[in-house]
Amino acid sequence: MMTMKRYLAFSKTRIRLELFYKFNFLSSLFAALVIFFVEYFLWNAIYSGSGEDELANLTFYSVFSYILFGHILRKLLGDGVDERIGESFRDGSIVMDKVKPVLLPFRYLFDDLGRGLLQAAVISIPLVAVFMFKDGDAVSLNQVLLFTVMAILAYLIFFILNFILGLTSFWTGSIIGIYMLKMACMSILSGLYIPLEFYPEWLLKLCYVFPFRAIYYLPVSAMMKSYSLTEGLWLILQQSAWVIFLLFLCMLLQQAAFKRLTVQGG
Amino acid sequence: MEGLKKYLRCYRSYFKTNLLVYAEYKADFIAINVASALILLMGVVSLEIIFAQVDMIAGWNKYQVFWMLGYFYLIRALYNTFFINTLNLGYWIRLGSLDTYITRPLGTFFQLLSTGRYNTELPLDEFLIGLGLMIAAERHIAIISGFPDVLYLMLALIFCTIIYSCLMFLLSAASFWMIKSNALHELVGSIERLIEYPLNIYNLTIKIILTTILPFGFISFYPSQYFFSFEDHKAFIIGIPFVALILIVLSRLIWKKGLQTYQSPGA
Repeated sequence: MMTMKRYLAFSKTRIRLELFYKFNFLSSLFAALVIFFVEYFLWNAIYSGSGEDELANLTFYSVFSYILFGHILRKLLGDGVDERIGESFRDGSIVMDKVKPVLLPFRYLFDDLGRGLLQAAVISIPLVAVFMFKDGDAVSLNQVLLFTVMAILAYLIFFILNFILGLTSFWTGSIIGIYMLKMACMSILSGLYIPLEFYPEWLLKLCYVFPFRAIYYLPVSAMMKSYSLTEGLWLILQQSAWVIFLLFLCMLLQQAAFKRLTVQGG
Repeated sequence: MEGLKKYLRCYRSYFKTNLLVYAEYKADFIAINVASALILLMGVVSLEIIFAQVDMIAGWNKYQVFWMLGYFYLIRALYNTFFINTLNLGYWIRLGSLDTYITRPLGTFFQLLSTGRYNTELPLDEFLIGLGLMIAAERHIAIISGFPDVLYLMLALIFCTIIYSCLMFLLSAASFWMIKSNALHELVGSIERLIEYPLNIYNLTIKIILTTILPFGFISFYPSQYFFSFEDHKAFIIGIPFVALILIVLSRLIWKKGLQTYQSPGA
């Protein structure tokens, strides 16, 4: 219980820090809302241009839910902790984290979780309000529940992935390239801009090989389609498999990485 | 003339130093370029996916959208080559390193343009993909029909790069008044998404905002209309140089005002 409290302090500090820089916080929120409206208008134009109710078996309302809840998930995930780990490796401040009586991964996890939960909660206010006023089928409690569980798993996958990428910067020396590469893969292979239903066969096959689909498409699609219980469990299983696989990889890498760590001065 | 020579010499040696910083991390160099090419290609693939479903969005066909996207990539490539270092401004203000630059016997704005490693990341991928998109679209819709069109295109590229650069600069200059505006990159990203598609998809309010308060429409949408629907957009197309001029004057003003209000955050 005491240890939990210790880690929660990281989350609290981060939330306070986020709220302290109000302009920064609000402009990042504004940027997200702008992208939401771009996507809304784009799909609106696509559906009205096609003159059909369903494209790739999805109604406009489904795609609308996909975009909307996707934006809440995006805020929860954030950009990832890899950049921070890489930077603190580069300037040597990681040694200060190492000497603290806390486990390094959890220190980053709780810190980032504070940011993610705060941002997701704040952006939910306008987005859910918009969703309420939009005509269409109501979402069921089961959908929301499944979305929540899968979002937590998605957050875990994303976090472990970023931790691994942060550790790889111990070898490459700089993180920017890795970070950009991750963002590029994320935008292509996760269904960030377009639901995977629209993807051509070859691209879809590629998506299954990478964890990005489990990070973004799977949880968000729970709000778009109503999965049955078995389907839902199967998807959760897929996500859990990614968690276990990446966790295994991460532990292997962590040992090797910290052996390499040399900090000049400090 | 002497002054110009001096600045060119300085720019060259700055560029060399930046290049050295950049060459320090080779794996990074490759990764950044691959990533940026992938993101650009994803823009193309997204459009392909969308146009596999519909023939037109908001009255624009696939090749018109491709042409506009290519044109936008080209402008961004020009911006990345010459003006991207201005994005450092917020960083300088926050860390107080602006002090060093102000006290040096060189124009502060010149140093802002030439310091920082961004401009050494030659955006070759943006130039190539941008031009490729425009050429591919041109083969299908054949819009450039003679020398006047080419001349217009050249002029438009210059003015639109100025407009884009000024707008980006004005966004960075906000850090003079609002310290720690590092959400800037997110804002830039969202604006780029905003003008990736023809403005026709938005409702009237957003269209008006993108024409007046935030004239991002003048970066790629209105210039493209010269080829697609000239008669309806005559006033806007003629307005392009004026918008560029107004933005230059405004940027100068804000820069002067910003430097006056700037207070060093401490040694």
